[in-house]
Amino acid sequence: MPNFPKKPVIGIISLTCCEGCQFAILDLGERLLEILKHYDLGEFSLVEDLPARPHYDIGIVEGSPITADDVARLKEMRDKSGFLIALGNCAHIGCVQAIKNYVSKDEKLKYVYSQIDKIENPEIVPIAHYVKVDYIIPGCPINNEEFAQNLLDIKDGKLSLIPDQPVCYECPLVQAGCLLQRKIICLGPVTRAGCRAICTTHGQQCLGCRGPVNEPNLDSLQRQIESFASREEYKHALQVYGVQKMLIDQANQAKKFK
Amino acid sequence: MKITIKHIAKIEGHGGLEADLENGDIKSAKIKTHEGARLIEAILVGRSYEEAPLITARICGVCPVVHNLCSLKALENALGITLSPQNIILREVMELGQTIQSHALHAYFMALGDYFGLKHAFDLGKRFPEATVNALKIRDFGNRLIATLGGRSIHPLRTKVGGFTKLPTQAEIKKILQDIPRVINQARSLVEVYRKVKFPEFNRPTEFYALTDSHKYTFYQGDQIVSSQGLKIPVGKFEHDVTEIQRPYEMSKRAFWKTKSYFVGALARLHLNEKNLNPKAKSILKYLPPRPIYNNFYNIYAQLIEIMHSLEEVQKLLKPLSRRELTQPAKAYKLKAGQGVGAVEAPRGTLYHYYEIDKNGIIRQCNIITPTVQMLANLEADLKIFLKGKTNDSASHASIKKLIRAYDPCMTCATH
Repeated sequence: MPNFPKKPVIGIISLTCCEGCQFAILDLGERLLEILKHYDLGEFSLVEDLPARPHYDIGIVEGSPITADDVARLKEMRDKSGFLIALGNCAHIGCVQAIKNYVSKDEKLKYVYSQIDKIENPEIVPIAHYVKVDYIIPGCPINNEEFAQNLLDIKDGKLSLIPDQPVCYECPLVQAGCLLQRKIICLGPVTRAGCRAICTTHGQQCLGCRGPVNEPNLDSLQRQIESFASREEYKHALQVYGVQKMLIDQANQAKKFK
Repeated sequence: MKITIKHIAKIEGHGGLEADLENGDIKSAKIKTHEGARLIEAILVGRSYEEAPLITARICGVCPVVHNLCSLKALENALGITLSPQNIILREVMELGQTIQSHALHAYFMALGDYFGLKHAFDLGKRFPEATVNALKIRDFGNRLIATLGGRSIHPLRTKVGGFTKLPTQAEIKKILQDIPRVINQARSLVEVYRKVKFPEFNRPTEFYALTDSHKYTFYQGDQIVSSQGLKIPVGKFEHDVTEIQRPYEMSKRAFWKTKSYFVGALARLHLNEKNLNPKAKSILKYLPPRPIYNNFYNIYAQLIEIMHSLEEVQKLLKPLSRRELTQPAKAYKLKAGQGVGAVEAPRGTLYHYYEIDKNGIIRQCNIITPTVQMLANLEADLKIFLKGKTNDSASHASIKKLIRAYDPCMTCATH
């Protein structure tokens, strides 16, 4: 982490996405105003209509680079930011729009825009495909408590990586009988924690939105899931938040180092 | 002369304006969407119906609840599932929570600064310290409502086909009821600020459309669309009468009813449902000009009225549910092939989801028509009049952005 000035300038921009992670930031409400006292908020166009600044100590990017304009804005943000943070699953991985990477994306385009053939339709990639990313705040949406803590840590010069633990570590069902044991697909064992297992807490399966742990044992999880579900169901679960490719790559890499 | 605004800040998503004027005549006025195509409808095809409420919530971060619930409503129609009265109420309350948080964000933090020359929402805190804190608290209450019922305010977790995975406890419902009178007072304090607002003159008659339910200012319930001209159309038929137009190089479609542009959103609902407003909301109608109001700047005041109405409505709906612990989160159902339309009133207007599923629950067809897709043509028609006498300078830009913001367009919904 670089040495930041006393009052670092922050810029927050979004590419193509739902902007839910920016709203998660706003949802901090009065606490956000408290935290921002330590910063100079240089750009956050959800709440201001002022000219952008030429330099940000911390640039925060949400969303997927889909259009040429998205890519240009992303690169510009990298150029003028000392420290670049990928905010949320879209910027980190690709989220729901990445599902098209696993089917015929041209057919998908035709389904929505039957009469136009000039719509940009690239493969969905993490922003790290185009620029160097210094830190990731994962999730769909982000856990805004984690975001608040990150900003406070940056101010104190002690930002650390998110612990490499699976969601199971935080899951309240571990004792009571996990979803996998009840034959429900769950990606908790291979997904990085820090969400306080919010999905399983509220009766949903984990679909991996925060991305893989360092050494996911995907083979074992696949065997377990395919003992009660089809391969297609397994694959679809990996695709919802676009994590399939990243998860498989990470699992293969972990195997190589063993 | 061209008038170009590349990026309109303080709206949801990325959009701009391109207009062409010739000797004072407005040749064209187009809202340009700068969102990429995410192809949400298409990616759902071939996947399980259970993914639709989850994936469609991701269309929009400011109104994920309405996509989630609209999708559930459509799927439950397709599967022939009728929710228990208790769970219908809980869904309605979630919609109201969404309305409260979205309107508090838009009517206050995004749009209000335009009327006081403030370009940064946080500067509202210096100008109106008390009201700004109250607006934050109102929005926070909306979020808490959703989180209490849905598990999380953005991208809810507890909803599912047939009902909920979990229900709120009696203590949680009592806590909400206990807080409401204070939030109503906070909303009342905002009225004092909005009374100072001078809304620009504008007049262009248009047609209002909204979902309706007998004797109710509805947001979730109901299966009929009404218009200010007196049309009454079942939701399923309306979805067919709406034509979505695609334009080259433009990611966002435009919807027309038959061939006409129309308006959806708070001001439309107000015109169609005014008599069903709750008493405190009715009492602040007096600051509006006589209806019909063909001036969409007033949309932000209509949103404030809806915040008040929604708070009263939550109180009315939850009181009977607070007497005992809730039971039966969800109904059991059998999977079958079918098709269904769902419509709800999102903060920005009527939202439609349509699904066709096969006997295994795989989605075969999907169509989503968002409020912004419906209101864009109306906004462009307004702009064609409003731009008269405008130039490409910053003063003109400011007044144009003020009108566009009053519409509360959501570009991420428009593109989905």
